[in-house]
Formats: sequence, structure tokens, C-alpha cells
Amino acid sequence: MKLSPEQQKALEAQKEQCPFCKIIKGEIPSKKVFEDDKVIAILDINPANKGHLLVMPKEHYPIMPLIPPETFEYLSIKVKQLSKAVKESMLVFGTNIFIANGAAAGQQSQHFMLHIIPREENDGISMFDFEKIEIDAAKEAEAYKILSNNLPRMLKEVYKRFPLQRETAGALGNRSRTAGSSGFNAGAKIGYNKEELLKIIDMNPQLKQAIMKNPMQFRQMIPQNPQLKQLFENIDVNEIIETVSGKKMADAIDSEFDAPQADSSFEHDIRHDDKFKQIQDIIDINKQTRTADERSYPEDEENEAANDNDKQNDEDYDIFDVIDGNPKLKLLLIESPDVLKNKIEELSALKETFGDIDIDDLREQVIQRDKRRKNRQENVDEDNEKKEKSDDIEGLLG
Amino acid sequence: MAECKICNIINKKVEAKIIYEDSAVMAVLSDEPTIFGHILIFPKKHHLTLEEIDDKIVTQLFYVASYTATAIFEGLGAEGTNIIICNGKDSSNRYPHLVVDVLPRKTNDGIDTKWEPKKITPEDMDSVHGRIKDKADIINLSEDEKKQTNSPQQKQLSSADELVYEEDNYLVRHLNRIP
Repeated sequence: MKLSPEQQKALEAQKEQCPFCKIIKGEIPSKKVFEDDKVIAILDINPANKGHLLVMPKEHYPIMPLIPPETFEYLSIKVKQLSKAVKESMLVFGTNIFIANGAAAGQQSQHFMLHIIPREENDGISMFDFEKIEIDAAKEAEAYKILSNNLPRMLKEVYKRFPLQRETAGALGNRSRTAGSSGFNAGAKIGYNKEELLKIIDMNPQLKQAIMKNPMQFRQMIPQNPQLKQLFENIDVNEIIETVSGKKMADAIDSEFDAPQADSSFEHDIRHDDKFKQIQDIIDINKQTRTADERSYPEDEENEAANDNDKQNDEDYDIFDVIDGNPKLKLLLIESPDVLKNKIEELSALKETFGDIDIDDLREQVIQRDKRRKNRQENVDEDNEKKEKSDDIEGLLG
Repeated sequence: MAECKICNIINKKVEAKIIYEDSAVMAVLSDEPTIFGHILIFPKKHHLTLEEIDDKIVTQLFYVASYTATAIFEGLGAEGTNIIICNGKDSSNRYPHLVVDVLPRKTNDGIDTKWEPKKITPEDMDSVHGRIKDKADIINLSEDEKKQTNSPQQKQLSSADELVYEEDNYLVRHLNRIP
């Protein structure tokens, strides 16, 4: 996960105030039981039990997804070793390891930490004695569908360490369509209210376009498409359409003064935002949407071309992925487009990729996109996909 | 183990909603959920405690837990997540097999993860501090150095983890409680 500059600034400010960073620096006294260059463990001032440890990375990370992989791995091993140390020193057979992500979960500090709590029989700690509840089967089935699609997809990099045992829809990796096409991810909450829905529409320009350009058609589409139907359940469609179209006027005026935003490239960025991939797919019902992954190998594209009718439309946005994933290619495009044009003639693979696209036009668009990209938050998945691709196409270019 | 419910899930003797499975770990939707979206992640090999599990698999468990928490956060619209490992005897563990619980949380969802801070005298705190520090200091030593510091009592305690229910060292514990 990367942070935008504003978020980065906020993080710096947070670090200054963080009492645990001060403890780590030594400005506030504490009972340290373990310290090395990455991780520190201290006794909790308000312990649940004698020997309650707080284990944290020395670097300030407010939430778990921000921790870099090496630190995270190191931390997990240390937790295991520290739990053993606690068991041996406190003469207990059980410990609880507890992580709270978010205030709703009981996170009390902005500095990510794990708790190791030694446990004994009748120690009075009941917070881990959970009760079982009844769950609505339909809701559960839906949650299962969402999670079993999304989780393997997210774990793509991590499951390479241990081979995958199940072919779930999400786990198929390179060849799969966007996870969204088989699961509904953008908020499995049943029933939105108007504000939330408007937010979702705002974040999905394609959806917005669909509503604005052809509200009548969109209205008809809703009952036919189960996912749209769910989105608009209990909501006045007309109200939404009015609000969205009303907004359009404001947007149109604003955009006159903005840097030219080629709509296709903006949509393209959002495509990589996990949450909203699903919404994009709802709109693309007639288009065959494909992930950037599927465009990774020129050989594959030859096969795809044979099967695929809508290739032309897709090329425009996928091409940006290919370019971004191949720094050499990008450099060539920006600095010497003529050389690139020649290469395209020479290599059939490149020809397939670029097809009939105007190289100069493409160059302009890439340059503009880059400018905007600098300010935008990038998705980790996107980075990983690019790494895979660049390994292959770089070889092709030589 | 015929008795272990989790092993039965791994061996497919029992139906379960498997979300993720690789050769080392598995993630399923709990069928005794504490809250909607409660997920269990466990290693395929039967172990009661985290300390028995191989480092690589421990790391894998944490990774899967971390990404599961993110998946829950995005997919189920949770406001927060809890990752809980009940590690060993008397740790409120529900199964004889190590399980990592991942719970989606929302404000006022009925689950309380606050504890009553125990009042511990400063002397007690110091003694606890010293004891844990001694044991924790060994962590970063090399294997050879570890063998030198390994006392018989330590060995006895580490193997105690593997015996499922053993009452032991109550006398020593008693000693430690005398102010």
C-alpha cells in the first residue's frame, strides 16, 4: 500500500504525537523485555494478566496493511518466539495473541501492535470466550461467495510459497477475468442508502456515464441485472438519476478549468481499484472485459483476437497497462516514437499489441496520465501484475 | 485425529465452506460463528500451539490472516477486524488444533474486546519484567549459544506443550506467588 503526499504528511504528524514512538526512542520510560533493530516488546501498563506483552515494529505503522512484507514476516516469527518466552517465564501453557485493526475492533493506539496475553484457568479473562450465534444462511452463502473469490486473488503472491490446493474462481490467477465478474464485492451490505449509492456512482465514472447518457435505458437495465437490482434496492431510482445528472452540470463546468481528462484513462485508473472493479463490470455487460493480466503476452493476444469480437474497444485502455508495465517501451514511446514505430513494423508481437493505434496520440495520452498518476494512490495488485508482465515483454524487446 | 474437528475439515470428512486452501494452511467460514463473517485459518498439520509450528507456516498463517482481514474489510463492509490466536491450554481455545480467528467488527456489535486491567504491584511488575526479559534474551542468540543456556527445567517445560493435558509445576507456581 502506498500513501498519497497528504496521507504521508498526516502520518508524519501522527508519528510526532505517538507515545509508543516516544517509548521506542526512550523519551518515555517503559519495561522493555525484548528489543532488536526491527521489533520491540514491552510490558503493558494496563495488563489483562501478569506478563501481558505488547509487541510492535519499531517503525510507526498505523494499520497492518501498511507494514512491508519483510517486517511483517519478521514480526510473525518474533511473536512466536516471544509467546514461547512468556510461556516459559510465566509458567503457563496458554497465551492469547490479539490484534485489533480499527477503533471498532478495540484498537486504542495509532501504532500497530500485537498483544501476547498469558492465560491460566480461572484467570478472569472472558474476552476470548466467544458465544456462538445463528447466521442467516442466505447471507452466509453470499459472504462465502465474495470471500472465496477475493481472498485467493489477493493472496496470489503469498500462495506461491505453498502450492494452491483448490481451483477457486479467484485463484486462477493470470487467466481469470476480473474477480468482480464472478463476485459482487463493492459492499456486500444488503441495501444501500442514497448517500452511499451516490458515492459509489461518483467513484465509477463508467456507471455515472451510463446513468447520465441514457437514463431511460439504465432504468430498464436495473431489474434485469441482479447486481444492479441489489444496488438500487429500496432506493428511488429517479431521485438518483436526477441527482447524478444535476451533478453533471457542476462537473462539466469544473472540467473546463481542469487539465484535459481523457475519460477513458481515468476509468482505466479506477479499474485497478479493487473495490470498484465489480461496478465497472456491471456496466460492461456487453463488453468482454479483461484484466491487464490477460493482455500480458502478445502470443496470447493472437489467440484472443481469434475468439474476441470486442478487441478494438479494449485495446485503448489495456495499452496503457502494457506501456506502464514496460519501462523500456514507455521510454521509447516518449523519447523516440519514430524508433518505436519502426520496431512495431518489425516485430509482429508489437504489431498485435499496438494495432492501429496512433503512436503520437498515444504518446500524448501517456504523458498526461503520468502527470496525474503522480498524485494518485496506486494499488498493490497493480504493481504486482506489472512486475509479472514486464519480466516477459522486456525479454521480447531485448 | 478422529476427535479433532478441524482435522476432519482438512481431511474433507466434514463439509465446510473453504475460502482458501494451499498446501500448508486453510481458511474456512466458521460454522460456529461468533459474528457474521467469522473466519478460521489453520495449518493443515495438527498442532495445539503456535510454538510447535514451523516458522514458514507461521508466517503464512499471519499473511493469510492479514489478507483475510483486508478481504473482510472490503468485502463485508466491516469497520474493523480482530485477529485472535488462542494458543495452548486454558487460552479459551475452542479446538485442540491451532486456529487463527479473524472477526469482522462494527461499533456496537455486541462483542467486547476490552479487559479489566489487573492491579499489579510494582515489585510484581519488576519480577515479571526480569523473568520475561531473561527468557526473551535467548531469542536472538545463535543455536550453539542456545544449547548452552538450555537448562533441564526449560526442556521439561517446552515438551509440556506437546502433552495435551498435564498438571505440572504447581509447586513452583505457588512459590512465585509468595510476595
